Amino acid sequence: MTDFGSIAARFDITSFYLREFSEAIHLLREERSQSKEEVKDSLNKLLRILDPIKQNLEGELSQSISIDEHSVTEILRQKHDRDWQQFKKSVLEITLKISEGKANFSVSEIEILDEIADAVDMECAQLFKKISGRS
Amino acid sequence: MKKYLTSIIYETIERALILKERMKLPLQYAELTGLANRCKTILDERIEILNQLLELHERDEVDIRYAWRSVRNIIREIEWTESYGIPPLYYQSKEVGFLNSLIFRIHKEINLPLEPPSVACLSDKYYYTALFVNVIFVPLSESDFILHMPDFYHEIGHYVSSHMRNERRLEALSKKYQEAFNFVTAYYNELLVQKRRESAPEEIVFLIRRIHSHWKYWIEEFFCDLFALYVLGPAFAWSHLHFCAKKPENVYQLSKILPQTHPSDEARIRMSKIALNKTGFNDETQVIEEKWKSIMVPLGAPPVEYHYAYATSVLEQISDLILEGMRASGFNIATVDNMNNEKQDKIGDMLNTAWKIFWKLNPEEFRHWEKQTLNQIAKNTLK
Repeated sequence: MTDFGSIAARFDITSFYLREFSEAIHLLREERSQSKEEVKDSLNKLLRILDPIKQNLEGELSQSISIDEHSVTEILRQKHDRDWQQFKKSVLEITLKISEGKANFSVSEIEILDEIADAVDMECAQLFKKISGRS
Repeated sequence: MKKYLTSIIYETIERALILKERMKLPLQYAELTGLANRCKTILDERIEILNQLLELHERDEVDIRYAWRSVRNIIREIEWTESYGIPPLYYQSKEVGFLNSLIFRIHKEINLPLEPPSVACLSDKYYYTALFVNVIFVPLSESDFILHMPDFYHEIGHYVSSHMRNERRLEALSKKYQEAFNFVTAYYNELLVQKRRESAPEEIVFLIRRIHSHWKYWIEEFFCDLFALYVLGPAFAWSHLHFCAKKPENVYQLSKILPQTHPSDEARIRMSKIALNKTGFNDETQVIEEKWKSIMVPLGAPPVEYHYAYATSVLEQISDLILEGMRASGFNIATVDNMNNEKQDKIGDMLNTAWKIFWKLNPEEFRHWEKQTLNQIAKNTLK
């Protein structure tokens, strides 16, 4: 097994969780009628990515094997270099809100979720670049 | 901008349709049916999603950010299928036929509760697996040599690991895998607490956090090694030693800053010995240990921080959990007892025998045996 295979495995896992996360934002944003179970399922999909990021932001080690939270956090930090403390606070707040089962999001909260999805998308693109031999 | 996204979607659909045409059907080898179906399903599903997006986009009924993200993800998936899924279907050589039939036999022998992965002889990087399409890539001439074939089992481990989250028959193994990583995390959390209490320098705290982040890769690699060791036996450890001996790198590798995808070879061999002892291969473990010491140990020395990375207690716990998970998920475990009692006509037995013979015969004699054995297997499997 080479580095290629290892990174390919990470790409595979990250893509899977990105798809789930992105679909969940899409469904929650649309405000169309969903059953309680569907909403709960979507919130859980969001937490699979938000929880490890939250733990990383709080200086804890995460048990999650879904994403490389260090990488994703770094992508977010670079983008929010100027307002990092504020952005970090918003990520922690929205994670807390979701873990309490609340699903009524404001426009700015959806924007934060979109930013995180874009960061995971960028992480996928970086992994893909590595395995496609373009880096 | 609206037209631009439409054009990209249209172009991507066209590419997917052309790729479907490039799959050479009817297939020359029945063992490639699974891959052909997988590629067809992936491409059809993506075409369907893209068509839906196109329709919604035309009517301005889709969030543009979601649409771009979805399209980019699909482009990556189609590119992946083009690079790694379609080529084995486009180049259906007799070597591809042989190795795919071999994998089919292995999947039955180990009681893999998934359809067998496929094989392509197009690798320029030893063995690796393209998981999205489930293809194991090996070098062009690999079908003519036996000693590295145990690495197929490690690659099947990656395949199992990527599918176990959605497969009820692998649920027990999946739980143990997560439990193993939880154990790793708890170990490092405890270490962090201890180091902070001791007012250790910030560099040590940083290093421990870095090592824990390496473990997100290492847990997968250790899992695949254990998977191979438990379903195959000592041949996998020999194959790994053989690989290390040919490409001497620092066997005590520990990256303090950059990501490190693989655990050190020393730790992998240590894990191999732990696992083989659990399945009764104590004699083989000793011989492996001796060879390892004489060939590899002179090639390097561990850095001072090495003990933080690969604690034997952590390796022990992981090997226990994975063995429990594999047993509970119904895999056929290779133990010293069943290897001595069963008929010797399995691929797994042949690979273990090959290594025993390799150490006994001279190179020419071994090569002769190897060729004969491969010819015999080819005759039996490609009937």
